[in-house]
Amino acid sequence: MATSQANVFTVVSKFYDEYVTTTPQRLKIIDAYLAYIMLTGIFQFGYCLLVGTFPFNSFLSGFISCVASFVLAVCLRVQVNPQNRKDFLHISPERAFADFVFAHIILHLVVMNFIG
Amino acid sequence: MTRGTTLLVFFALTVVGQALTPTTVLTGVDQARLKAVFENARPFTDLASAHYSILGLKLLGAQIPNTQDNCNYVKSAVDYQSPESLYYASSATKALGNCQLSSSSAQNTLQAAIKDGVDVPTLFFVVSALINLGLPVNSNEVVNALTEALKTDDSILSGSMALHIAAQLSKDADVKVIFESIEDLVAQADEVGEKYLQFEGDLGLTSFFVVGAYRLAGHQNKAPLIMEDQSVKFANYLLSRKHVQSPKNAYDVVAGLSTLANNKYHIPVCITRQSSMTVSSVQSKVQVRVSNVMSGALGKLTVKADSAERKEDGAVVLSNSALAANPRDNTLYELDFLKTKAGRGFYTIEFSVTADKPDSRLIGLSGAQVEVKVVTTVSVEEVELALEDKDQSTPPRVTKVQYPQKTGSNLAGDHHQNLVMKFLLKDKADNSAMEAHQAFVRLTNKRTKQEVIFVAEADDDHLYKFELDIGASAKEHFNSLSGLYAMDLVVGDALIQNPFAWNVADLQLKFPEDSATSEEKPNLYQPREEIQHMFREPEKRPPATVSTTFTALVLLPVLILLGLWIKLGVNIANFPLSLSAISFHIGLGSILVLYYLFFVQLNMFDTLKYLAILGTLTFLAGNRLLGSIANKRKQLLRSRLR
Repeated sequence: MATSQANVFTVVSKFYDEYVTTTPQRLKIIDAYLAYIMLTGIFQFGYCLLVGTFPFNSFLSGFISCVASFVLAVCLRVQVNPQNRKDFLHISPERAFADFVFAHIILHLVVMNFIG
Repeated sequence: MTRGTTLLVFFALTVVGQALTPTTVLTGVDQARLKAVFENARPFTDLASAHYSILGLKLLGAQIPNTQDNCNYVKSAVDYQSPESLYYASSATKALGNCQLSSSSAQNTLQAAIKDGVDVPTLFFVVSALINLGLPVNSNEVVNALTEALKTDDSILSGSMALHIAAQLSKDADVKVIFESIEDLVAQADEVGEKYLQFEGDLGLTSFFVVGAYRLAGHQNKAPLIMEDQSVKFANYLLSRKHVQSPKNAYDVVAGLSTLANNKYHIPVCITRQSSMTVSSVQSKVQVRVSNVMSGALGKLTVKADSAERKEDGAVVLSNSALAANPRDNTLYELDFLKTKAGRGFYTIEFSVTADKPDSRLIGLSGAQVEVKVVTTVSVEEVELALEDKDQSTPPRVTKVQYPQKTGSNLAGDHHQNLVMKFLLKDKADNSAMEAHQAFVRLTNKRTKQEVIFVAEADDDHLYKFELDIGASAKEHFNSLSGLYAMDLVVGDALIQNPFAWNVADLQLKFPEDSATSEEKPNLYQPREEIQHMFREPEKRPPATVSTTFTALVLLPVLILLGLWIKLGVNIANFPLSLSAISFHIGLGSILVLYYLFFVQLNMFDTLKYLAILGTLTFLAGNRLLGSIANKRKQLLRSRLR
């Protein structure tokens, strides 16, 4: 049992080390943003579980805002990653970022409408 | 050719339509009511209702009250320039008697109206007014104008008006064509249910036609080509409308029926029952009135009852009996029905009438039917009450009761017994057993006054038997309430003169106790308890501390993000202070501010409007900015490659 635990622990620490060294700066910024979004979403969902779904539309808009932001950020990360350059030859990182901003503008308009 | 076929059809239908007679009659009560309609038209509001009211009263043979006031009204309301107004006014003044219109000014208008291209209604008003005022009429001129006008106008109203016009011209005027048009007009009438004949469902039109047709026939001394049963059907239609309320409609009814009561060709004979429908030993005579449609006498007649048929089994109880004339009222005739020794039942008596002095005008002389019912008294005999055990272990005790007494002591029954009651109903007239329409046994709880009603059924010998299983019926009928019950026998029928409810006995019933249900059933007919309206309560909110805590918790990750970014060393220093960069960031910020305002105050349309402006600016700035960044990156790449 100790060995499997040790195995899991070594895998995780190795993963973390490689992440810190090999990932470019830009992607780490985006990853930090992703973590922030995820935490916000988890806290919102936790509130809903504990206290109840009233008002349901507000909960939905907030939670879905987190989810959608997470998805858009993941898209940005995928498109900006230099290792994926082959798949996104016609989409420059600036273009990806512009798409990201545009999508967010629309997302937040809808969220503000639905939040009541 | 058409005349030949018409005659053939005429004869055919005459044979078939023999049995048609009017369904009812304009009774004295009806005539009084119509008289009241005419009288209530005063004070008059217009010339037409004055005309109808005055003429109507005259037709009913009633006194016209306040003739001087009426005359003054007519003289003031008439319009000497309008033929229609002159028609109404002149007929009214003629009916009133000593009332004169200014005939010279009338004459000018009327004579001038007969010109080329005049239409039928105007011609009708003009000719009628001239005749009413006693002024001369050029019959040939009128006939020519009428024929010309009828060529383009073939409505039934104009056709009827032509009849009235022709009836007022001199006797030597050539109105043969108009007379023959009666037949064509009748062909356009609609028949309803083989009983009524009318034009377009219009009372006024039908009445106007009937009056015109018989008037012209009298004028020409020729029978109108209206068949007898058609005449009767017209009479039926007019009689069916006798409950009208306005002066014009009342006049139409009275005028049409007066014509059918008094003309030279067709007078429908009406037979209506005057006595009560019930014939019993107390009142054994059936009395009928034989009259014309206005309840007027028809002279000396011989009235016979051809047959009386019982409805239940079609038995014919009399044939060919003469009725006795009532000496005081020459329209009433009597028949002593019980002389026929008919038993109880519903009977249809059919009559036929012949005039002592032969009168070819009378129609509908046979086939009139009148319904009566013969009632009888009933007696109830052989009444037996018994309480028998369900398991038949002991022989039942039978109690005999005699109507109208009651059993000496109360009967007691409980749930393992059956209550059996037998009785026989007898018709006292011929001492035969009979069945009644209603034979019920009613049990009433003496304390709570609740009733249970059961039906007693008769077997083939007319012996009634009523059986009650006390145990089985406890829950369903009695609510398992034990106690003293009054037992009544209720007998009734349309043909029984003495229906009764007879308290036969009092029963002490005992039901099994365990199945007792709640005593008081809620009374359905009392007001229910009031429902207080509850306004929608607001949803339960969590306490403020919980909300605040979670708000802080949700905002916490922002700080974590900022911390992480600082740790990563996010590059703020490289911020190009160019216009596009600043305006791009300001644009994004302003969009977020706009969204906050949207949440707080604005509506979607305004937001979209501002968003379009801000979005365009931000887009342009962002485009420039990102383009410059891309260029810089490309240049860097190229320089690296070199």
